[in-house]
Amino acid sequence: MTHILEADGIQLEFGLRRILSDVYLKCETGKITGLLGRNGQGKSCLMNIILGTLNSSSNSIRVDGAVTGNIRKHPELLLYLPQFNFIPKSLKVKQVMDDFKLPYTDFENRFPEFTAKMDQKVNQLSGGQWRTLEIYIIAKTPSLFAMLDEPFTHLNPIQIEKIKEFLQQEKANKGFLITDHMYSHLLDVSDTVYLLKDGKTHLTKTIDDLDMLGYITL
Amino acid sequence: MRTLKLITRFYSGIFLVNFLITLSCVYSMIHFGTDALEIVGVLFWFKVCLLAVVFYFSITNNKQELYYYQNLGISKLFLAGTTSAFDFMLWLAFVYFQLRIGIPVYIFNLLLLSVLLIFLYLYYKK
Repeated sequence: MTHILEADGIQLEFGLRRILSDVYLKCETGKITGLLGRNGQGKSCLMNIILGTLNSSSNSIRVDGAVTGNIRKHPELLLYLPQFNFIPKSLKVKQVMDDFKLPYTDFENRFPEFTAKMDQKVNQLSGGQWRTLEIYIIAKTPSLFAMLDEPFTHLNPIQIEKIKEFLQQEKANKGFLITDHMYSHLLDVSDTVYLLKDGKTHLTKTIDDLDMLGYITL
Repeated sequence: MRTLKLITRFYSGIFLVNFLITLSCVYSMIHFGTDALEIVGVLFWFKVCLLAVVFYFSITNNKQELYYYQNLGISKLFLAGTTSAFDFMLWLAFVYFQLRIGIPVYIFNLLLLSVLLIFLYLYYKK
């Protein structure tokens, strides 16, 4: 069964400055939805509104058509990867896996660079490994949807390719909403891409659409 | 069980400062001796205000890590409620037993020393 997460009629102002006006976005299980936009266009704000950690003047967040308030209190519905590291640095890798009830062997098999690292503290990992671990727990922990804010940051090209492959496999289990500045990688993995511009979302299909909307210059 | 483990982990980060505040209340009561009951009201508000201040700073300093707990289904308010309630109960127990029994000061000195040694050990182990 396909589940649908919709964010509709979202309006956000900071003082007199309107950031988002009448935004619509749809995310489905089994698909990866990409969200592009220049700095300051409100991508992270939009994610925080969907999550319920940022209040907006108007919004309707629906899961399967039912309005869902405070979705952040329901990790079985939506998990969130913020753009910064969120795992407490004093924790060991094994503790993190235990907390999220994920078997370490699966993780090791998927990302062999973590072999014999289960007793290491998270802050002893490299930036890329730390990010990989965070993406893994968000993608693997059972939930209907996951929002990833700049997942490719701190990752080297090989790690990015591995994560892209991993996300393509994991989308069978949930719906992803991903935003990142590395648009080529995002376009590679996404089934649907929205461009956030002038406070509105524009559904894009090709790289030419991004050019036409002024996000990139071909 | 997992929730309890996560709350305990969060509380361990703010335990020491809260414990020192609780002990400062008890030391004040010992100092006032038989008149201790008269300052309980002041100590109550002292404890409540500092509980709020400590929690505010722990939230501000660990803002990013709160997403970890959130992804595990534990909200900021739940963390605040449970840890504050437990810490306040601890304060209440100390104050009650001090008023009822009058625990000698050396017991609190020993307790303080033990807690500080444990934290020093954990700090160097980290």
